[in-house]
Amino acid sequence: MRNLKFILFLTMLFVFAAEQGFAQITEKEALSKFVSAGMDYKDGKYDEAIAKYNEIIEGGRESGAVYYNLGNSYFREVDMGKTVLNYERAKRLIPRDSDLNFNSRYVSSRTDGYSNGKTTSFLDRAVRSCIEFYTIDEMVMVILITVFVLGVIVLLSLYLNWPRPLSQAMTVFLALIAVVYTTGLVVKVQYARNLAVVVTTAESYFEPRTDSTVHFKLSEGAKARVIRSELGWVKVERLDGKVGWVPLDVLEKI
Amino acid sequence: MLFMNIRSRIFVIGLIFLCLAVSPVFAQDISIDVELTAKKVSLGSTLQLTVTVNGSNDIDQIQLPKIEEVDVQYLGPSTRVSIVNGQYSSSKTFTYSLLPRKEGQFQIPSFNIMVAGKSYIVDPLMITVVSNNNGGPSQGRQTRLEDKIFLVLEPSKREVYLNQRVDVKVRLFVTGLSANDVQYPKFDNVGFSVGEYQQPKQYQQVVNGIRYGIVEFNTEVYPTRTGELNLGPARTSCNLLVERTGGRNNMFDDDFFNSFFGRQERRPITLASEAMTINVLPFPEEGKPEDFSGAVGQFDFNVSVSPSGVKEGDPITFRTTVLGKGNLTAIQMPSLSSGEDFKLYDPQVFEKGDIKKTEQVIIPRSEEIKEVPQIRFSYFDPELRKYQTIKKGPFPITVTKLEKGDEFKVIGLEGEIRMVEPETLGEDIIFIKRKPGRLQGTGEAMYKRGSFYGVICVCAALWLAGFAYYKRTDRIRTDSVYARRLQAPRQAKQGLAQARKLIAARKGEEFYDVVFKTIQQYLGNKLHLSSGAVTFETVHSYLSENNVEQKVIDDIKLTYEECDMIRYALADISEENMNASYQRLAQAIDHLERFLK
Repeated sequence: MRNLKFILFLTMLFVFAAEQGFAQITEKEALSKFVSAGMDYKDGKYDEAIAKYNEIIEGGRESGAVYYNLGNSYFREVDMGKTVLNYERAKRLIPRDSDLNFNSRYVSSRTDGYSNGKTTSFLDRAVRSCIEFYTIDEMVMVILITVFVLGVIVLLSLYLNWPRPLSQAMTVFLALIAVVYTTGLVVKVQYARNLAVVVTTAESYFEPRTDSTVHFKLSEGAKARVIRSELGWVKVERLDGKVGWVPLDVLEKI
Repeated sequence: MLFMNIRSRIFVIGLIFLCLAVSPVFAQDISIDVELTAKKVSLGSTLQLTVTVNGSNDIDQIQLPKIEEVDVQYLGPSTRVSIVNGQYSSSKTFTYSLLPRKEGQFQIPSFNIMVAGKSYIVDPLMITVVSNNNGGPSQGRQTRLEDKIFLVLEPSKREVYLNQRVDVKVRLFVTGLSANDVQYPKFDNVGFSVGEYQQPKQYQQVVNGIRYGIVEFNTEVYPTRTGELNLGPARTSCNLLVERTGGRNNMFDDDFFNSFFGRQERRPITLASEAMTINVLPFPEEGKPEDFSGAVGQFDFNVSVSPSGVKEGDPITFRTTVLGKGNLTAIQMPSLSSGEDFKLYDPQVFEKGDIKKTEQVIIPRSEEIKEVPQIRFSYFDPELRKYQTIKKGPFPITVTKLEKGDEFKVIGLEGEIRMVEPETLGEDIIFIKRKPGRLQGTGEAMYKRGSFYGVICVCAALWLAGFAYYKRTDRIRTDSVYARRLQAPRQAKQGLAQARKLIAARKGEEFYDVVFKTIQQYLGNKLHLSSGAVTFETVHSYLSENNVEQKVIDDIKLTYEECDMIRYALADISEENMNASYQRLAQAIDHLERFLK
């Protein structure tokens, strides 16, 4: 009993410690900046709108709408790299937003993604569209609820002595859902972990030196996967599979 | 060495090789070899010049001096490194392809090569270029490459009116050479618009006794301003197939092997024709019709109106056709002028070959309109040097009034028919959002919160508790030994409580009955024995085997004896004895509960 109390105390301490974040601007301040930035955008003062949206983010607050509006502002300033970057960041939070998806597709059609050379299978496309449909939180919640229901069904089948085929079918079905979503979550996290957007059009080299041979080009707004970084250089893989080195400031992680 | 693995052996051998290779580098002497594959070459063939720098690889491309009437193309470098008996040697060779453009003797002038900070002078070389004996215009003068391949620009007229069509022929003449990949000619023109090229023709023709292969391109141009204008020069590019002269002097160096092993070389060449002056006249002012809009040529003009009988508000298609040779693209097609009688829509224009057409929808505004008015088309005929006007119409039409109920009704648009025009849609991004949504902390996620893991822990604990409870009840139900063991202390506690009450009530016999029953039940449940089988003898052996303290065994024995004595011998039952018996029983059960598992 004494041990149980100690464990409970430690758990509460951990929970309390984890809830403490770094100093943020208040939600009211963030809201005020958001409204003010929207008015600047309407007046065509896009650079001021960008500054205010960035202040919200640097102040430790974010939302899908903030990134979406920031992407729009960069688009008006004809900065395709930052536009794509912020739309991708917004997709993390509001992946099913129709306005965001329209704008993102429109901007992508105007940038060179270099994905033509690499064919993707139907399965690959299906998995990607499924995992892009949910946020990470939503996937975690689906997995948890599925596991919780699975646990309740197991207990009910024991207590109420349900017929074995029925309880087995329900258990297998729910376990399958949990496995599928868990796999999707792992793929999503892995995919998102090293994805970056090119914010400045640049050339990629065979070696991390400016006097080495140019291998390929990375256009502003294209997506690339970061493999590793080394002394101000980043080894990247373009979506068509080409691998090369670019200076660190060319890319920004999503 | 014998026991080294393969990687170590390769490394050691490589190291030795590297030492042998690197050490003599600095000791090499530098020399320059310049070599021509032939001193004599026929016009239309190439020869190669190789410059070899022995003893150093550290040199960039060598810039050859300008050679008069010789076209020079750099083919690239090659490097040679050799180690023979530990002697290291290296050289770098630069190869140039030379294409003479004229017969005669030419000199490659002396030039300097800088190697390792030192200057080396290359002596001049002479080349003799002779006719290739394939026929050609070498009648008593030096033949040039331009005599064997050239471009000629031939306009059909040298004096034209503004916008008048001029047929232009561009012909590529080739003799004694092979050319392919000929591109469509382009014009350096200001003041002309150039039409589409027709399919080029190929044929042969004898000109001044020489047979030429000819590629003919036909197009037309239209002058867009007046005055003396220069048409051309026309420029085209093609690949010349030239024979490489000289090289290895062996059995493979003949035409048979050359055809197999690529002794021919593609040499890109750009050709330009001479420019032609064309005098462009302005339109005469005399007799110029008011509706003249710049059409020049010979044309026919037709107009049709259908249907000729319509109901009020029904559309009529008004078609015009201009047919003939001239600047159709620039012609402004005649159309009906807007007026009160007809509602007019923008005409659709079609052009194909020598025909240009328009289709225009017109709607008579009332049933009183009886005709579509006359329409005129004026053009300037450059052959006749005067203006021509073709008049068509008027075209009679019958417009009948709509009967009641026949009106075309559109909800919300009563009184006037509106034609739906195709939308022109632009593309842009969707506007910003007004609401910020949930302004969460940057990088904050549900799965990063401590409370999230707290909820998971609680759920897991509840589930485990539920599962454990089920397992326990299930065991009680199915395992009688376990169930009786669990039941033993509970029943003993009840028995002791009852005994306590009997002591207070001073009911001695009943107290010992309860004590006997309690010990019997407890030991029966604990040791999984039936009630009848529980005697001190059966219990004693079991307790002894399980190392129960002797004092406890003695207490149990005494309790049994006391109970028997009271039940069968009616011994003295004092409260003190009852308390002592109670204490013994309670301590014995407590001890067994703690130590008998």
